[in-house]
Amino acid sequence: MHRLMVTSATYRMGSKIQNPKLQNQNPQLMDPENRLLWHFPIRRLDAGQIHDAALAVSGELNIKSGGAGVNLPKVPRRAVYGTVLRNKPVEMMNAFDSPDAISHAPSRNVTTTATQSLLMLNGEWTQARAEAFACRLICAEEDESAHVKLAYRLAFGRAPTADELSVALEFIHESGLEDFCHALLNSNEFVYLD
Amino acid sequence: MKFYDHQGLQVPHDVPVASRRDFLLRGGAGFGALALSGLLDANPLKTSGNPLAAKQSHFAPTAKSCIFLFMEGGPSHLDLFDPKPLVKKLAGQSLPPSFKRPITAMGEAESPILHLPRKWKQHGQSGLWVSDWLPRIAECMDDIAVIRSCWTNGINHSGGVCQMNTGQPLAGRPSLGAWVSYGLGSENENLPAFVVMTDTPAAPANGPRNWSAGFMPAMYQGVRLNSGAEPIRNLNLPKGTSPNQYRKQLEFLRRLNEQHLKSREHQTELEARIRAYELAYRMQASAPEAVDLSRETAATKKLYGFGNKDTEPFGRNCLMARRLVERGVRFVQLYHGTKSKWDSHSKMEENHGRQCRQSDQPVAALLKDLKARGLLDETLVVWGGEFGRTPMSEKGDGRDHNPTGFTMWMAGGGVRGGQVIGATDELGLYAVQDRLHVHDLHATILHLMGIGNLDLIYRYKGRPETPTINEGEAYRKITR
Repeated sequence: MHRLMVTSATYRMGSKIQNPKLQNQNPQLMDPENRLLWHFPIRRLDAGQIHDAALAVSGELNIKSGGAGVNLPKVPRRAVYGTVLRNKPVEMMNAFDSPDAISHAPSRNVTTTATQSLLMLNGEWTQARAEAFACRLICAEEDESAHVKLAYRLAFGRAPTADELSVALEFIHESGLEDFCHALLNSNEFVYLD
Repeated sequence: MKFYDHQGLQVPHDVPVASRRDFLLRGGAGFGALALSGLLDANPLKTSGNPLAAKQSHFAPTAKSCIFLFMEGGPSHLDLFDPKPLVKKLAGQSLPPSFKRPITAMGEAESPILHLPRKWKQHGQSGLWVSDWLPRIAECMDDIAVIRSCWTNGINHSGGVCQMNTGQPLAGRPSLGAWVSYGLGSENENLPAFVVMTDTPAAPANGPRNWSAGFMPAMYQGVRLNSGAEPIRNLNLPKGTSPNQYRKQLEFLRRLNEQHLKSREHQTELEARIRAYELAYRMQASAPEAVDLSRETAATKKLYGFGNKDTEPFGRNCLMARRLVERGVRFVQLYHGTKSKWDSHSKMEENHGRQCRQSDQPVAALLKDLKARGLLDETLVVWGGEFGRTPMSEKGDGRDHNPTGFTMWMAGGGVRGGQVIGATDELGLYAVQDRLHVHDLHATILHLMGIGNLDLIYRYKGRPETPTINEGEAYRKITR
């Protein structure tokens, strides 16, 4: 059953809309909520995924499986191994709608708030990931274009366009590689899946 | 019952960031309408994009905002607002046989009754009784409705504080403030709708889950505000980042996001996130301004008890609360005696003497200041703890928890002051007349804010959830 579902054309669609007009009928007008699944819904990574993805990109993630629970913001393990103290939620998990672990949560809320932005922009944790990300780039590649290309591949899974490359280089000259990495971690492309 | 009605106030449902896309596409106006609304500044679309934008109430409210003064630990109604001559008469004896033995936290049902030598006087034109522990609040009694008949199920601090905040002693439900921000949104989108402050850096019993959104989306949860250099968590620029550098980074981020949006224009979630970053940037300017007390006059500061180490900490919070409601914040909760400091199992004199000394002047100042500025009419002020205290003693000079009868009071926001609502029995042990359960108190607060407690619905796991768990009734006579 799962095979049937995940190999179906519906499941394998992307979320990008090519704006197909079927006999002059625009699906965006007919089914704006995508009830009939005519494209894959765009997905924001959930709290644990954002956490894990940031550590994966910065090269710090410990992917070992199993073991005791850890103090999440301090130990770079996957979020699923984080100890949950219900009276002391981990800021990152809480801000991105991780359930409160008090009652069952059949589905997760997905909210977009200024609190999240402040956390990602000014919070120490994201800062530290950006720093590690920049270090990783410097260790791996010599010149700046190569830094940008590797950063795009790690954070977005694709190569930058020529235009993006030149904009990025311009920014790095002005503000440095760490700020560039920090911006990537804050970007929509990083936290949303097409 | 309109369980599945998504009209009117029932609009906020379980798809919180129901995007502007639906609105635009159904309206047929497309993005042009956005530009138009910007030009007209009428903002008909803003409400459909920002889930925290101000919303229509169920009926005309008498209170636009609420300040909940939470005396954590359980203040003694018997020594503050509910005098009982029989307590003095029976001091040293056990409860008379005619009284049903209550189950108390420390099992003090048979302990001797404790009388404290308070001086009681009637105050104001209304002649409401207040003890000499609260001389300043006593000056405001004509604006205050004293509810002497409150009761709760929470027998210990965790359960009591949880219930007074969320409606039930067990964890997991949204806080009253979260329901209010869900139902009414914020009048000031640059500030959170629901703000929480504590008088010390300590955490109250249960910690942040007292102001959590429970099963509702995180955006409705309370935001803890501090009086220090960083009023909201992560508000300040990272260390070593210059404002100029910061702006450049935000500009670069905006470019990245707009480039990304270009091929995904129909995905309004992406645009919502771009706006969240803009809002965060604006908050960095408005939040420090809101809590900047240097703009207040010396007279105002004196009123709130600045310059006195007892009164200044809570005075600062009370003054900030006034500034926040002035700026459209919907629900402000101030903890006094954070971490059960009102809890007085022994040494009542010392404990309550200190707690009252710290809070009396700031609370009275808040009422007087709101009134002088014409804000008391639209601001509901609620005072109380998670429960009261027993007439029976504990450890000789303390009192046990009393969830079966205790006092809270409300002022402003349409409440008729100078009245007493309900009564406890002759010893102040059980609420006996016009008993108001926590659900009724919450329903009353919601009612004053224009929300029907059974009409505000959030669908969760297929169930229509309401703030008072399908119970409770507003005490409407409070306005008359």
